[in-house]
Amino acid sequence: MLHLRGDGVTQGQLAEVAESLGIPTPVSGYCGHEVVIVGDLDEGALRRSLCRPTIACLEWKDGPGAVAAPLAELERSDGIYLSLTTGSAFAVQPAQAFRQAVETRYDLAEETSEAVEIALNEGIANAVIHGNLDMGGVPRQTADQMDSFCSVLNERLADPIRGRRRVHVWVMPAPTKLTFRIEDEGAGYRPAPASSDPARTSGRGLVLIRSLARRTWLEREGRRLAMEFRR
Amino acid sequence: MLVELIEPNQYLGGALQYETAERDGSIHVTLHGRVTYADHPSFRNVISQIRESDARELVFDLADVEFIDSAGLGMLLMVRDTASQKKANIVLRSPKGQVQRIFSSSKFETLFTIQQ
Repeated sequence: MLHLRGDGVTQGQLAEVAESLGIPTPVSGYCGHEVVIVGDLDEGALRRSLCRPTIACLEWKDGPGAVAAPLAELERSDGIYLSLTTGSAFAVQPAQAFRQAVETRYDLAEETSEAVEIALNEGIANAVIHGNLDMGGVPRQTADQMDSFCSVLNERLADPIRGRRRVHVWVMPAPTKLTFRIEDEGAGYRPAPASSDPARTSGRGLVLIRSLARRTWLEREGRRLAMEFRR
Repeated sequence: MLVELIEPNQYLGGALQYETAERDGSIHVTLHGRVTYADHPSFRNVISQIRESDARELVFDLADVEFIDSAGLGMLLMVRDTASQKKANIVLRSPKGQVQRIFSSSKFETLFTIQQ
């Protein structure tokens, strides 16, 4: 059975989550799987919170947000789920910490682990930039365009609606494979046709992911990217 | 000489740090840590400095870069475009590990002079 743990949140906030998710706060001596609610999400808190026995780490920002992953299945399979706001995903860049949690928990080879980190980073970047911040139509092909891209980026990160949309990342392990999913709360992503020009300045993220994962596909009208890796 | 060490703004997360030094007609840019999608604002400053300079050579020292993503590759390509407009040569020096592997898979050796 799952229980809740808080890291930088008040007992009142934890009790609120316990009621909304139907998960109890810890019983003394119990050492089963945990859902961790993190108040101030920095890199250290993220690394601590993704270690076993955590199966889910939810950033507290006006609440824990809606849970996108099936917690019961995560608990059964010893998966890992992370939900954080767009602003935190941009500031903390969680791919490295998630990779380390996955590498340790599932005993991955270095080569697979590196591929997972690259793919996670690209998927999270797409969820943040194209999904939640809706920056797909803002060009960044040239140095001049990058100036306005950065201005719009900072405006949208500070936007109370866009900046607080969530990015959800989770992994479900199976004996021979790991399936990762990255979900955003944007309008849905339709990838442009891939260019093979090595000098293009953008649009190579999905190409990179497809070159690293055994299989990739989109779910929920492009709001969720799934990537499968061999173990 | 250390010319600049960027102060991270509230969204940068402090991931990318760089130093630039200009001497003998060359700009040397030393990057540290991770170069990712969150570093557009930092990289914009690098490009501005290059555009304002009369240097004929740009050297990016990457020995201390542990990770680069597709956005980071895009930023280096923007530097390449800027250098090309100013008829300056660009050299990527000492890529290691993941950086070296992603350069290779992205065929960067066809676009840049890469020195080990």
